Amino acid sequence: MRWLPLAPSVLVVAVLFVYPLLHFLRFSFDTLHEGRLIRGFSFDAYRAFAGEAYYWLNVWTTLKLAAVVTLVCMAVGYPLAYAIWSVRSPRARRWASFAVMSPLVVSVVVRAYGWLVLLGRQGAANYLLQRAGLTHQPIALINNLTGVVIATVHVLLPFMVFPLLAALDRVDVSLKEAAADLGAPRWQVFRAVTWPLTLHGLAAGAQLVFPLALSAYVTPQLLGGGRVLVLSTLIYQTTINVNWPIATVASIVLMLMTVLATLALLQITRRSGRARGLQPR
Amino acid sequence: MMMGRHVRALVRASVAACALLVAASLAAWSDRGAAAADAPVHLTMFVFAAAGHMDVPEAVVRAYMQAHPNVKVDFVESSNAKTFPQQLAAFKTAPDKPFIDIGYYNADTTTKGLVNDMWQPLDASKIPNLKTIDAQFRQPQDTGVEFAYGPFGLIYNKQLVKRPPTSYADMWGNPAFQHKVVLWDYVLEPVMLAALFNGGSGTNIMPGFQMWSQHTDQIATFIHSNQELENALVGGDGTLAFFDLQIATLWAKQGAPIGTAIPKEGAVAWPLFIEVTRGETPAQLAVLDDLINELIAPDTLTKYSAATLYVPTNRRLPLPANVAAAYPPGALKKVINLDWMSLAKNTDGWNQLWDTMIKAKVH
Repeated sequence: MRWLPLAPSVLVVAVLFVYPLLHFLRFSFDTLHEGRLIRGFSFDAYRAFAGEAYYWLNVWTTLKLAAVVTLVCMAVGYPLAYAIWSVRSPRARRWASFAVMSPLVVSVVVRAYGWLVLLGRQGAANYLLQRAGLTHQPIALINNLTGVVIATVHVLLPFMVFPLLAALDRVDVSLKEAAADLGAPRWQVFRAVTWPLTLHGLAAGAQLVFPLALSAYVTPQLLGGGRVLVLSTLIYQTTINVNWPIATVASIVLMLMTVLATLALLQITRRSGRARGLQPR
Repeated sequence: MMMGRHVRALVRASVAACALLVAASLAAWSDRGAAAADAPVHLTMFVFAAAGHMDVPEAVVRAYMQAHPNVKVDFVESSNAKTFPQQLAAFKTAPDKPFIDIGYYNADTTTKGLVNDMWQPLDASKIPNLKTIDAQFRQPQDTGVEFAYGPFGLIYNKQLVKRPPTSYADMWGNPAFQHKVVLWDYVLEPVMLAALFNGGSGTNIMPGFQMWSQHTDQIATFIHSNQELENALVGGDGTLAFFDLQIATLWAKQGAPIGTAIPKEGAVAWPLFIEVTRGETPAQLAVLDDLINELIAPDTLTKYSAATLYVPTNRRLPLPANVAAAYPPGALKKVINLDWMSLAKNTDGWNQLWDTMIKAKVH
């Protein structure tokens, strides 16, 4: 009877998620012949996916994009979170947090188009680079991985900053004070006290950013110019082309990658949290 | 005597009752006929969202609805690429409940629908205006109506391109357009053109794939929508593309620095079709026959042509003045007809070649 309150949610998930997913997976066993979908039970699509280097290129680029975006978000997000955490005024801190969160208020499509304009050959970025004398002619900042990474980092940075902020908030200030009292310089206090105690925040942020970057679609589609080959755009294109068997297999691969990445990062988050012996502030 | 009066009364009453019965039956029969004729018919019509393409069909259909209050038509304005997969999925799941009943389609989706046996053959005897469509544009078994075509050619950025292109070969062979050619993703017509002019044919486009594979450095980007194409050309990230000359002309009129060129090989006829999905009820089919007859009537096609700059396949119609003026003299005389059915049948294999021979090399 204790499980009875769960019944409505289980029913909703079963009907609106599990059943459509199984119905969708059914297409992976169909075949495509002369443009016509043939219902059947065949592993041709799986064999075709496994045997074609082009599809593995999509898998590799998807992983590469997610990894690069996550690392850049860590590199940019940690100092940003630390700077916000260091702000003493609560009001200033709220405004700073809002500034970090503000990209989420705007639709990702609008943001992607905005980056297209900013990073285009005649966009503001190239204009500033040329004015500063750093380049002599426009450089390609879109229709490649560079533009996709820039725009995706912009989209996903809040998901790295806020877990880090939460982790920083949980650092016991008295530990830092004790280290300083014992003669440790600021950089050593950071390295020996703050950094280890906030690693789980970094892992939590990666746990959010990496799967989201794996499945990013709008940004690679618009800023990649068809030259950044990721699984999400492959799925879209094969669906439009009525090659639903391949679209389904690619979707299965993407789902598996996302699940495995999430589980791996969850393990890292748990271990780093236990190992550092978290103390509330 | 009394008995006789009673009998006469009985007979009069019986005759009256019979008369009433007959009258009631007649009334019921005519009511039934009237009810069938007025039975509500609900249809969903797809029109693709492109400059001017919705206006004339919508006006015709709304006028039809006013004249036939029992008919209700809902419009779906979107793109072929987005709507067709939904239609196909619905057709595979519930073939007797079409998601779209009638629609305007390009060659790509029309042929995909044909190979999946989705389109309803039309009864020419119920659509008199079908006879006005030129014989070369009539479809086998009248599976749909090819009612117009738009000339496709080359479009370019007028500010950045010093010498306008003169041939389709400029796309894959002119160094002036290196890293500047914008291609529609998985739109194989540039490959078919490269094949046609390099020893291939409509069924063998491998020479075209080989040509493009050797010149992938010509490609700037792959796009998926009209808006992306316009952005790429206006922004200068690409300067040359194979596209609809009518839409490009409208962009130029709206201020975009875009020029159009009919290559020396001729424009490509990009056909448009009206298709009815299989699975319609007899009542729906009757209304659809009427609607199609209206939509391909000579005056409707003339208005459509004037609004979209597409050329009617009723060749006896004089071209509207703005259509004749929109294209260079003689541009509409020499038109390349691509093998759309071959494209539909070979799409899955050719798309794989697009991936492995072109996109993988551009990556």
